[in-house]
Amino acid sequence: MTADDEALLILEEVERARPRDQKVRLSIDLVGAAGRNLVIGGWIDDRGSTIDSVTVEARGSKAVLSGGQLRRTQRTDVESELRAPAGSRLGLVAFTGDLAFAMPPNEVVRVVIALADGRAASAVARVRSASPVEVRLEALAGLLACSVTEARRRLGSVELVSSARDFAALEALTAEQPAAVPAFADDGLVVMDWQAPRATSVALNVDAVAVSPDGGIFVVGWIDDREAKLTGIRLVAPAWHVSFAAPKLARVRRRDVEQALGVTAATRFGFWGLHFSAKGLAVSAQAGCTIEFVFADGSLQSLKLPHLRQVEQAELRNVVLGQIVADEHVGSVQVEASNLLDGGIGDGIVALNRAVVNRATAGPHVIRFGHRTDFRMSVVVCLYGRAEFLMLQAAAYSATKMGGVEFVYVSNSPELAETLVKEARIATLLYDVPITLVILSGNAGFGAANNVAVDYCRSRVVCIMNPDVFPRSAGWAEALLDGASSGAGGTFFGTPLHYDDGSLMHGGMYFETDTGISFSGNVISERRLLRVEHYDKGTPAEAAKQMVTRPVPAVTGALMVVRRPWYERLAGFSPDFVFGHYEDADLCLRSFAEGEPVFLRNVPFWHLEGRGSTRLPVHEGGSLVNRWLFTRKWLEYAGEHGLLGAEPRNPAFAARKAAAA
Amino acid sequence: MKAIATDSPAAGEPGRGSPRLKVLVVSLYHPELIRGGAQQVAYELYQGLAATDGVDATLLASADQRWPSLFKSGARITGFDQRPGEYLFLSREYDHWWHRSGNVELVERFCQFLAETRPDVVHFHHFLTLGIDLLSATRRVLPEAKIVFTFHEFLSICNANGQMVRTFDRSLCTTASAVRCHQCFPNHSPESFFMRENWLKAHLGKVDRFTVPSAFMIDFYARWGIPREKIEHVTNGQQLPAPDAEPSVQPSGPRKRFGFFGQLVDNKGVQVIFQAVTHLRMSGVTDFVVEINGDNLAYATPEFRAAFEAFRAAEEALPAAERNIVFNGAYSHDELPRRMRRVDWCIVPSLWWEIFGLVISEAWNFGKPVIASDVGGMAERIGHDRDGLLFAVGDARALAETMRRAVTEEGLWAKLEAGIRKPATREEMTNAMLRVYRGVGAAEEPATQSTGTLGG
Repeated sequence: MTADDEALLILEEVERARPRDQKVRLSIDLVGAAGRNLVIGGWIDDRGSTIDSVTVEARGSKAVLSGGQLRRTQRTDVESELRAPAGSRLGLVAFTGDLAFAMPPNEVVRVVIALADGRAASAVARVRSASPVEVRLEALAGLLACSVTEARRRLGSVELVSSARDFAALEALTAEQPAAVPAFADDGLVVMDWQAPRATSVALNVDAVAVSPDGGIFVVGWIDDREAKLTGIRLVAPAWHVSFAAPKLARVRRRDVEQALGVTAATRFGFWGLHFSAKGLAVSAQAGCTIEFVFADGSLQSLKLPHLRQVEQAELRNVVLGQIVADEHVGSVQVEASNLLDGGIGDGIVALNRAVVNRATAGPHVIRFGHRTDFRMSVVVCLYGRAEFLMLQAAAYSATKMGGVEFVYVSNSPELAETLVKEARIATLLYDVPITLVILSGNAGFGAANNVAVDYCRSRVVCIMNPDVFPRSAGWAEALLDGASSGAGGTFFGTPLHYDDGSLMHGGMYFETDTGISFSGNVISERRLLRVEHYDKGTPAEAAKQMVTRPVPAVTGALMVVRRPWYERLAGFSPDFVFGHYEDADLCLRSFAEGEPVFLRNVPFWHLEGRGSTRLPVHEGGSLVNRWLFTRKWLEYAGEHGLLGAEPRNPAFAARKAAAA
Repeated sequence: MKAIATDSPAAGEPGRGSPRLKVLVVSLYHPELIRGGAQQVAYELYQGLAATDGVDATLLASADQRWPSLFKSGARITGFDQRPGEYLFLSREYDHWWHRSGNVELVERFCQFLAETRPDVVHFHHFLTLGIDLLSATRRVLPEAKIVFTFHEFLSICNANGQMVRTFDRSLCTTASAVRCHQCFPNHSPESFFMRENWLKAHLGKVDRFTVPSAFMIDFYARWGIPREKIEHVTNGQQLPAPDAEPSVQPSGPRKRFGFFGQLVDNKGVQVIFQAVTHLRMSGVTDFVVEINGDNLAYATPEFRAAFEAFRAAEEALPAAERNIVFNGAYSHDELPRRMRRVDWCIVPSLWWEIFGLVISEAWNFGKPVIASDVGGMAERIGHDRDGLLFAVGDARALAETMRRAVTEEGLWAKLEAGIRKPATREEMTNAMLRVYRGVGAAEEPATQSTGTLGG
């Protein structure tokens, strides 16, 4: 801990009335936390008594540490300050890996120390957010009365420390000095012993290793393992190491390698892997790392990479998504991509994306324009890449009857923030449209951004709308509100959307399955994937069945009206979907599963599909992941509940058949 | 129709009694800073209104970075050269696709300006450099004011500088649509044009009354979606210099001198004259002269520039006696009488609709019959064989034949010259506009031009 840290952390020293009016001096030097892991360092002059418990109070939550969670240490500095005899052990370290609640980072907490004689003293400190490993290293350093670096050295394997939940486990780790070569951490990956170097070298290369200090490692390269079968690779850096068992590696075609090796058959020489954990990784780009390739015959070949590419989590995610799009497969792209996502990469991407989303949605910047505060409906619009839709919608909607409607714009493009503020100011000058701007610090994706925006809505009816949706009738607002207040299908519904050419773009969605062929591992296999289809795309907008209110399997997120309590009960859009796509169908299916099928009500809008935002290759990668995820979540359910096809068997859609007939 | 709100119940009768009518004329550019037809007409109107009893006229004309020193630090609207009633709108951050300014302070200042001046009528001449959304700002700040908008070409309908000439083959266009416009601008999707149209219409919807200087435009705008009953034809009026008493250089005899007055850009069609001259020479007609007056060649396409320069070089390489074309170069407004005096006929060979053609008014002011393309404002204003001659637009042989007839047919010039009616004056235009402001209708104006419309 640096001197600066100490200065920051010793915020206040509080005395409490105690029997006999004798004051207890104490100092809390450190409160470090990572989720449910907590370390407290400091000292207390409890001479004449002993510590009974240490209580941490944070935001109404309280954790009590006692017994084996506390250790007293020698603090010569304190002894000299207090003129206490040497060996008084006034130092205090508290540690637990099992807090009852996740400690909020950067929070100011109160630490109350109760003594056995009934006295108590407290101090206030700010929680330093750390990684679980750091928390343990701090605890260990306190315990050993040494620096963190020294504690790390004494520990041998940093990875092992993650599993220690109390002091006893920590002490056990330091007691048995590890062998010169530590066993590999098992993050559910693979544990291997060291192997002998290979006698004959295998042609291989690592193109790049990208690491995010907040957690996340991506490795990409190629290997000619036709003869020596690869069982796994491990990346060894000074502060961490990670193993990838072969099944966890994506194997893809590399034409450049085929050409270089003179191989004419399509061969999966390429490999890449993603490891994500929320644990922080000490990364030094200069330090580089060693990549070890382990083969089935027990041999090992290693390669030194002098530099690691250090990236932000969001960039790491985009690198991986870009990789999925760039991958060349032998079979169907979506099927092969789904197969490789199954191996663990998919879950890694979802977890990595969640971390990115959590960061992007933390502490949004919110600006309200206009003075009214009570509304009947809140239109929520998620902007990405293009700002002008704010003024276009404001101009178009202000020309309609929209009393009691507010617009909440949420921006996934931080670079547009300044422009959007200007646009909202101009719109407020020109039109009578109440606008709230919710500016996120990064691209949280469609679903998560809308969820944040709904938090700032000031009505009971939420209308999720794309920026390129425009009113086709002046009375749209009343019509939507009428719909939302009606009994049947008023809880959650969509509307027909029309292309600029006047034909139907959206009249509800249904689910089909595609069967793709995979050649994975020289075995030909089939795989079914869910596909979302729009009813009657491109047909005349006036087709009769669009005019009838009816239940449909799903509606597009381009325009959906949801009563707010229902939206909140469903916890809004799932943040697991990357960027956009499929989260709307997912929300509809969750609503169906909870007992409210979604409806289509005839309130027509224009939708200039896809013109409202920009689309990049990483978005295609996101779509592949989303379709894989959506299939995993819903394929079985949709089959079991008769939700497949344009005419689903489920009785909830009987009305649709009646309407069509 | 919205009534004009003024200070007293007896309002709306300009020139009668005490209630005064406050009119704000909002103009694309100040004509003394940047010349052009729309601003010239707006300024004529402002001067006409200012000279009318019972009317308080204010001018707000835009300026752009061509005069950077006029952009006083921190100012968005300023006065103009110590002239009472004239203000400059310092245009900035102008978006030429959406036609609006992204500058918050500029919009704010405009709103304040309206709130301070509180005009009864706000009359926009064009939205370019100003912003189409200022119409909505006006409606918001002054809910009771009458908003009048004069279309000077087709910029609302057509992204090709409002000319309705298709970009890929220069054919004349009569109808805009998302796909047709996308064909002219493949980089912009049909959806973009759909949005452009809706955006512009959202603001034009705030206008109470539209006027057009030529009646044929009404069909175009009605077809596009502006309610026909909201559009009125009010011809452009000008205060033109009185034709001097000095006799023409060639008081009588054959009328063999033609003049072109205008910008040397593609759509003005000077190249049609060149081709016609070539045809005339080949058919042995050589006793005539064409004087080319104008410049702005820099704004023409490179192809046009190259062809123009090549023709001029070839012409100037001829022995003096064999030359038929004289290149006089640019002229100022003051020089116009002298340049006009040198010719008998004025040729207006425009390849676009030529909304009004101020040059026609100028030619008529000096008693020169006009030979013009048979479309748009030209066809509407010129009566063939009555006060001028029309030829098929873009057809050099037809123009050659018309020129041959002009120099050979005895009595033709005198007949046509006698048929010329004086163009509308500033005062006539002002009175017609005042009737529009009062909701009476401009058509009662006896001086308005014939309103024979040309279908599209």
